[in-house]
Amino acid sequence: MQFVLLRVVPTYVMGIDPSRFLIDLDAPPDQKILIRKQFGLDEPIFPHQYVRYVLNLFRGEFGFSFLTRQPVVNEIMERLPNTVILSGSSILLDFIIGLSIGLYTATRRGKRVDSVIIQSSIFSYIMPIWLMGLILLMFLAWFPRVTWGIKLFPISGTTSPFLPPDPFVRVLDYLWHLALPLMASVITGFGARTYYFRNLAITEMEQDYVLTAKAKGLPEKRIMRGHVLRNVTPPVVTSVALSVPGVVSGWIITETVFSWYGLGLYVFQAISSYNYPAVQAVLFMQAVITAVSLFIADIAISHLDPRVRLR
Amino acid sequence: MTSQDRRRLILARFGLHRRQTVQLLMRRKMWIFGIIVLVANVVVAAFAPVIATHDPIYETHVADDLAMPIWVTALPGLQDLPRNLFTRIESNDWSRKVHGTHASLLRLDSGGPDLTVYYQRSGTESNGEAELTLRYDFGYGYAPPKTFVVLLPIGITVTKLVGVTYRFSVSITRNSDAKTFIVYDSYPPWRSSDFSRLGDNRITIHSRDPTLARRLGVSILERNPAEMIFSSKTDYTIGLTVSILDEGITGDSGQVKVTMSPVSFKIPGKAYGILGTNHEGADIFSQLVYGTRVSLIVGILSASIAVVLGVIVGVIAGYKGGPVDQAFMFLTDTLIQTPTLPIIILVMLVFGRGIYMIISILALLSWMGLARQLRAWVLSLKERPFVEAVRAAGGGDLYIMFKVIAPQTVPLLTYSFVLSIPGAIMTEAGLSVLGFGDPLFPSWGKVLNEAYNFGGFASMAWWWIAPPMAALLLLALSIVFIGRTLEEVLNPRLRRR
Repeated sequence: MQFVLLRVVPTYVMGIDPSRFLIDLDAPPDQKILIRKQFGLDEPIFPHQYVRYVLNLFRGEFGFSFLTRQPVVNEIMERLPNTVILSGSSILLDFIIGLSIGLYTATRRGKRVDSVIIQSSIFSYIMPIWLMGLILLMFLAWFPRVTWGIKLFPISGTTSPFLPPDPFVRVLDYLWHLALPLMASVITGFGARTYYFRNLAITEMEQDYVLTAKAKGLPEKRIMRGHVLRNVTPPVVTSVALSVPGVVSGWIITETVFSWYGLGLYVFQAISSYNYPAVQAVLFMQAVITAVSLFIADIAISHLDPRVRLR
Repeated sequence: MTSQDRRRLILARFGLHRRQTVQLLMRRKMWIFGIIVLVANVVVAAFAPVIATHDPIYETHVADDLAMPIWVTALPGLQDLPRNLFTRIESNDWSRKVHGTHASLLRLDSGGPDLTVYYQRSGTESNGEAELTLRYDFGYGYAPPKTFVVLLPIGITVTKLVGVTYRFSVSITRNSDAKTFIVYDSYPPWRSSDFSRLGDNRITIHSRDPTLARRLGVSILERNPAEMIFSSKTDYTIGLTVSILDEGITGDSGQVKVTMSPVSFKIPGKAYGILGTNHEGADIFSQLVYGTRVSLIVGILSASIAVVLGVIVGVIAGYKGGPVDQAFMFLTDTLIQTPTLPIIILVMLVFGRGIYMIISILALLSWMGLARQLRAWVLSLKERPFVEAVRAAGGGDLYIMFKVIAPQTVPLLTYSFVLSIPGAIMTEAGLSVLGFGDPLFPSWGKVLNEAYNFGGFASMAWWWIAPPMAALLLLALSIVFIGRTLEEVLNPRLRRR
C-alpha cells in the first residue's frame, strides 16, 4: 500500500516523475540519467522496483535519502532513541496515571472526586495533542520569555547548543527539553485511559468474588490491589498495546510542534520534500512497531492471565 | 406504519417514550450547554458573510500588523493606541493657494473628484514662476503610529513646451511646532517630460520605505519615520506643491496639464476590530467567523460519510457472516491498527489538499470503530424473532439488512455520529496547523498555523492565538457533551448505572 501510494500513483496517475524532486531541474541531461540510474528510478516500477523494494525490506535496507544521499537507516538510527524516549515515557506515564486514577475513582463512585475526574478525562480526551502543545508552548515557554525574560522551558529542539561535555549537564538539559512534549502527550493521553480503566474496574467490582472478599472483611486497599488489579490487567495491557498506533501517528504532530529531533519530525520533513525512501522506511518501521507491540501484548497477557495460558 | 410510529417503536424498545427522552435530555446541564454552543456556531456559520466584516483570505492590511482588539483601549495604559485613520482627499477637500509671478496663467478645474490644473502659455510671456499649494488639515489624537501610507495618483503632461520645467513635492507639517517633513519630491531634476503615475501605478509613500527615511535624514533601523512625524497629538497638514519654472522663451507656446485623482492617506491603527489583526493586517474576527463554517462542514460531512460506511460494513459483516464477515473484519482491524496520520498526509500530498479531499480521507479512516460495534449488535439482532418473521414473509437480504435491522441501531448510530464529529474537526485543525490544510479555506487551524509560523508566539499576540484555540475547544466540547448525554439517555446499559 505504501509502495502504491508513493511510487505508482504519482508516476502513472498524476504524471509526476519522482526524479523531479531529486535532481536539480537545470542539470544536464546525461547527469540526470546517471542520477536516475543510481537511485534505480530508470527501471520499470513493476515488477523491478517493487521486487527490489520488498527484498530490501527483508534485508533491512531502505535505500538512500534523496536529500542528503545518506543511507536512510543511519538517519533513522540517529533519531530513533529520541522518539523511543519520548513516546515510551509518555505511554508509560499514561498507563501508570490512568491505572492509578482509574482504580481510585472506581472505589469512589458517585462521589465528587469521581465526577471531577470524569470531566477532566473528557476534557483530556477531546484535547488534541497539538493544541495542548501550543497552549503549553504559549504559557510555559513563550510567555515567561517574552514578558519577564525567564527561560522557563525551551521553545524547541532536543538539546541546547554549546553544552559543556559534562554528561550530567547533558542529561539534565535533555530532560528539560523533554518536559514540555511529555507533559503535552500525558495530559492529552491519560483521559481516555482513566475513563476506560475506571469502567473496567467498576465492572470487575460488581463480580461476586469482590463481594466475597468484602464479606471476609478484607480492607478495600487489599481487595483493589490483590483481586481487582489482577483481573483488569489483561484488558489494560491490550489497551496499552492498541494505543501504540495512535502514539506512533502522534509522533508527527508532537515532534513537529516541539521540533523534537525524532522520527516524527523526520517523516514530516521527508513527506514535505517527497523523499520517498525515508518515508517508506519510517512507515514500514511504524507498521513493524505496531505489529511487535501487539505480539508482545499477546505474550504478556498469556503470562498474566492463567485462563489464556491454559488454552 | 409511518416513520414517526417506527421511531416511537424503536425508542420504546429501549424502554423510552419520546416525551420521556426529551425530558431526560432537558434535565441535563451538559445537554443544554452543548446545544446552545452548537446552535450559536451553526448560526455564525450560516450567516458568516453577514457577520464577518472582511474577506478572510484576500482582504489584508485592513489595519496595521498585529493590531490589538479595539476593546483593549478601554483598559488603562492602552487608551492611546493608534486607531485607523483612512482619509480620501478629493479635489474639493484641498484648500488651494496660487502664487508666483505667473500665477495668473494657472487654471484649476475641479469638477468631480479629480483635480486638473492647466498652465497655459501663449508664447509672449517673460520668465517667471508659478506655484500651486494644496493643503489638507487633519487632527491626530493618539500615540505615535508605526506606519503611515500616502497613495498619490498623479499625471503630468507637457505639450509643445521647451522652456518650461516643473517639480512637485508632498510634505507633512506638524502644526504644534510648525515642523515640515518633505516625504516626496520629484526634484532633482526639474522635469520637462511627461510624468504618469495615475491609476494603479500611483506614487506610494510608505513609512517603511528606506528611501523615505533617507530623505528625512534618519536610518530606518534607528527611527521609525511614522513615529518621528506623528510624535504628538496635534493637528497636521498634508501639503502638496506643484511649482512651474518658465524660462520665458518667446514663441514657446503650449500647456502643462496636471491631473490628480483623489489622494489616500492612511494611518493603519494598532487597535482594530473585535479581535485585532494578524501579521499581514488581516482581520482575525472574520477569519474566525468563516472558520466556523469549515469546522462544521468538515466535522459533519466526514462524520456522516463515516457513519454510512460503518453501517454498510458493520451490517453486512454481521448479517452475512462467514467469509464476507472475515474479510470485512480483517480490513477493519488492519485499518484500526494503522497509524492514520502519515497515511492522511501522504494521500493529501499525492492527490492535493482541497477541503473535500481532507473530508473524504478523514471519513475513510474513521468508520472502523462503529463498524465493529454494529457488527456485534447485528449478530444478536439477526437471531431475533422479528427478523425471522420478515424472512419468512419473503423479505430479501438487502431489505432485511437496511430496512429491518439497520433502523434498530439508530440510537447507537446517533451518538456515535455525534461523538465522531469532534475528532474530525480536531484532526482537520491539526493538519492545518502542520501546514497541510486547504490554503483557500480560512479554517481555525490555518489561523493557528500562521500564528505559529509568523511570529504570533514570539510577540505574544494573544488575540491571534487564544480565540481559535478557544473556539475549537468550545465547539468540540459542546459536541462531546451532546454525544455523551445522548449516549447516556439512549444506551440502556449506561442509563441504569
